[in-house]
Amino acid sequence: MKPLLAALALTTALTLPGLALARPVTLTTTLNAYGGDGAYLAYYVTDATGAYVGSLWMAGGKSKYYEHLSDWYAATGGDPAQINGITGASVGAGRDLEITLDLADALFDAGYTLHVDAAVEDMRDSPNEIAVPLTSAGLGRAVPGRRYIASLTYR
Amino acid sequence: MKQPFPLILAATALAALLGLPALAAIDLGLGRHGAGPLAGGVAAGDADLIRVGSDHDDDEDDDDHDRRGHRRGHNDHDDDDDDDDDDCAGAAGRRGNPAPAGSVAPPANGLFGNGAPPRAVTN
Repeated sequence: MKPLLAALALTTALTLPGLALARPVTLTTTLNAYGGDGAYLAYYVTDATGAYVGSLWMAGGKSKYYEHLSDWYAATGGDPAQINGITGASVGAGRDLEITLDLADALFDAGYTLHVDAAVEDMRDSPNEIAVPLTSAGLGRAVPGRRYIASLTYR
Repeated sequence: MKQPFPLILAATALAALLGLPALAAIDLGLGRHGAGPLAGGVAAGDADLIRVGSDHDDDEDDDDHDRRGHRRGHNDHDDDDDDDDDDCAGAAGRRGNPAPAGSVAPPANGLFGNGAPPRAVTN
């Protein structure tokens, strides 16, 4: 009986972490009606020291414009490999972008910060348009942007 | 209980079946750029399952960006509406555009779990 219990305990121990390691998180971004063309938006995460950890999403598919997302560009050198598989279309003025990602639980309440850089054709670049700590308490709270983004909510 | 070994074998097989994917999601930080708390867990074979809700560009005229690029030191180019990414491309452009969501797995940057692939919808 003891080997059976040990095996069952091992099964449980190996299975539970897989269920608890990540959670689906939806980032909802509402753009202002700024009267310009579609916005390029870079979503990325820094750690407690401010060091770049990785990118979560890129709205806008042409790399030649990424230099206008200047903070993201400075952190990554514009490396497309950072955003392979997480790149979509740019977002029009007044539109909502809803991104659903399976994010590591360890990102929350651990000093990580979600940043959004924004850029629009013929308009001023807006690096670090939003910087919001990733915390459990922040879930569902709308955060205003500085120029092009009306609000960002993660839940 | 006279023959516990089949039960042990079954439990061990179950552990391997359910536990190994969880272990695979744990980032060991071996040589990954910007490795975080988790490894990017979507296998390349799962890439076909990734869907993006809005596959059109809300910009509706991406070529408009070309004009900005021309103003910034590339005035010798024409202002036609071609879609050639090589025109006026800087260093990033020469490296090519990133793979769109749905075509490859997300980067292994430690931020993503191995659950549902990224999705985006524009309203």
